[in-house]
Amino acid sequence: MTFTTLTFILYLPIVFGLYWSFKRQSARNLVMLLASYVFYAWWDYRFCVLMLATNLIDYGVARALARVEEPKARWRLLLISLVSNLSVLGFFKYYNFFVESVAAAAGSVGWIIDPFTLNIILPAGISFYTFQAMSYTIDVYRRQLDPSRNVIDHLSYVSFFPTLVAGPIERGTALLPQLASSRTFDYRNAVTGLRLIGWGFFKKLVIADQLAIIVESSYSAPDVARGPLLAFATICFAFQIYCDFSAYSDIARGTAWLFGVDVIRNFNYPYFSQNLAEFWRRWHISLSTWFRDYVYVPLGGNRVGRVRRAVNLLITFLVSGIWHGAAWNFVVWGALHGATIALGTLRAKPAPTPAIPGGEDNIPSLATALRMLRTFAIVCLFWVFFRAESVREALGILKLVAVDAFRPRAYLPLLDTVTDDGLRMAAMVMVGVFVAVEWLIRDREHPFVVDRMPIVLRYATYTACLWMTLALTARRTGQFIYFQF
Amino acid sequence: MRKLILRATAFALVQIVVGAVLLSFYDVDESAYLAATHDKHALLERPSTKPRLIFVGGSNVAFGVNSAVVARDLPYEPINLALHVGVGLRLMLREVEQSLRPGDVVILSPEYQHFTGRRAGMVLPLLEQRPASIQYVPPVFIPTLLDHAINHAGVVIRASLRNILGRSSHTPAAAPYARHAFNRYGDVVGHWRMERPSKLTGFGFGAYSDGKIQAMVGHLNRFDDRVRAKHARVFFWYPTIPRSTLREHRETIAKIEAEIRRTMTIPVLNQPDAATLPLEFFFDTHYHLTEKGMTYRTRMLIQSLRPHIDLDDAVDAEDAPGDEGAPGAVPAASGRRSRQPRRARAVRRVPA
Repeated sequence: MTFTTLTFILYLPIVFGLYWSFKRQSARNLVMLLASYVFYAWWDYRFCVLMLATNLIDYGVARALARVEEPKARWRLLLISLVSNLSVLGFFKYYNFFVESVAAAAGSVGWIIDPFTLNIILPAGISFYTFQAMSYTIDVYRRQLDPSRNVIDHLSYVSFFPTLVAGPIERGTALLPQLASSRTFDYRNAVTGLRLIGWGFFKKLVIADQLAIIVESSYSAPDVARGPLLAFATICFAFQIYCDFSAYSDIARGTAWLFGVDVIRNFNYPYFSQNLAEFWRRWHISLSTWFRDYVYVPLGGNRVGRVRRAVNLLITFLVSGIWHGAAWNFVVWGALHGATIALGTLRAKPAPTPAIPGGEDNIPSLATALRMLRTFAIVCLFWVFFRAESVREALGILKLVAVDAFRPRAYLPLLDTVTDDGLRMAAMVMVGVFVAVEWLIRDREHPFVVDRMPIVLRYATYTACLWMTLALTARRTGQFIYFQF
Repeated sequence: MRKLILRATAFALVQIVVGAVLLSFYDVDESAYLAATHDKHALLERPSTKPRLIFVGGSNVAFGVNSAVVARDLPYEPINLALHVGVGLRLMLREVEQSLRPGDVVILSPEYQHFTGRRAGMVLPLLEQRPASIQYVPPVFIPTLLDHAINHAGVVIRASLRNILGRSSHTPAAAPYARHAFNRYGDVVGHWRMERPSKLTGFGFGAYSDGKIQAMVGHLNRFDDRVRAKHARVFFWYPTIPRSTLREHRETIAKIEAEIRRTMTIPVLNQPDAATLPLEFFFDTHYHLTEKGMTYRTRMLIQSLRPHIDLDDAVDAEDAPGDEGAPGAVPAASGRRSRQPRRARAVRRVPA
């Protein structure tokens, strides 16, 4: 089930009503669990069995960890959980990549292997729920979290439907205590949740889906597109993926609020970052902190020398790249981010992250503006590797962008693309408005801060936003980009 | 909670009123491609003195049959019911099934994509054109319809707003994607005099499981049973695609073909390889044929169909394509029951 569909709009009130109609937390968690499995089964019911099996293994391992004191035995138990999760992830997501890469490597030294690939459907959200499940057993292993005694609570945590398919990757330390404790309905939280959901719908339907058309038309045949159009498509992709993914996170957070649950904020105006390290503190925060806590810190984190720290950063970003997709272009994308941040670490002490992105002033200093633009340009450059089908294609795109930059005639297709469709032009205007709105509200989470308005005006604002969103909705909607991961 | 429910209900009521006002300004575009569904249903419901040859499929059939050749060479009245792959095969089958008469022959040519995923993206626009077609919508389409509803609402709202602003609510439909591009049999002919675009638009398969292929073939078998119960017949006819496209997607198409060969009860008139044509026979997509392609494909069909309907007139071999992907000899129909082809029940010889 996709958030931005009528299916979900009809489904949500049913689950909401059922959930709050029970007084006992255990009954509410059971409703949540069933709702999550129905939500997941909407894609492919067979994968529910897979999810249930790995979740039950994790539950069993965590319960055993609570009873075992001997370090080697505890390590072996943790290994069971890690192997079960990673083998499922490895098989479904990385098997074909692995055998094809081995065959390609063998072919490069003259040894021809016909790779045995499989037609495997990637279960939706497998990377997300697997990481969520692993963080749980690791936290129990580290004695940072008491294992859940109740299997329903545990299963509800891992399969919590608002975050199940594309995060935020919520930690057991944050979510399990909420599921285990008593929740009461809070009107203000529910309204905040609904506003976040509305903001998410706008970002996905109006901006991300419209930009997807421009991006797809250029990136589907990059060899025949001109450089300026590809550069423009890459900038569009930067906003598409941001609006797409942050929309999902907003809807997930908003939905969780409706059920009295608070989940981690996943985006904090990343394109107003002034360097790449800050960007990663504001982009996909739940994944960045996951890698920080479970990869970077165990490798030595900040406790080691600068060179070792730089190597650790590079390794962490390489793993992050491969997490995103089973292809070399994702590995290169991760490596580029890692190398840039690692070099920055070697050169200077990391700059502190401002509490408000871009600083408190609404008119930033020239130096701040240039730093934000530079960071955005670097991020866009790296997005080419993320969006292209292969490293070769990404390099071809970058070459075209560079070669065509000084050819005036190469800009004509760009003008045609922007002006030949009214809806597309409206999307361009919307991107401009969106950036301006984000800049003005960057100390808040969403723009619907309308509590002080008279109720009639507030309803009129909601109504106008709703119908404007519908009127500007793309003709076709795509799945959320991060579903593929 | 009570406060939230009351306010949410009030908000929903306001939106219903706004929606109703906007909808009152909306008019359906009667020149649209899918508006041809009215004409096709009129053809289907029209009384006929001859048994009918009804073509069912997506746009590979709408852009893939020259019914005038059928009308000339076979003692059947051709009706091309096809519109778009996104109408969904299950809906297409229900649509034709309810109108079948004894002696009718159904030529079923679904796109390959029908076997690998649920194609129902055009059902809402179709229902907007012809609400009565809701009777053909299978329950399995409901999730897909709900998934597309918001985007379709966007189209409707934009058209209503244009009407409110005094502008034409619809961009005039242009050939070949317009109602007027169809001929009296239901074939698209509006592109016959148009220049071919420089490249064909995308062809691909999303993620699928073998179970989907099996389920669809099973569905076709049940359709076959129901058609026979109505004393009509159905033949399966592989769609025509460029040979290069077949090569590129060989693995998936081979799976579909294997399942059809293994379990399908409907007689099969051709094979994927023999159904290919060179690129110059295609108009704008990997399924849409030019006039020459439509005529050639129709002649291949007539040749394959003759043994089954007891006719022995030769088919002209002119216009046969040359090199790239030249089709091989048209094979005899295959399939579990087609090894001993059943004879048509209501066949007349071609008049001299």
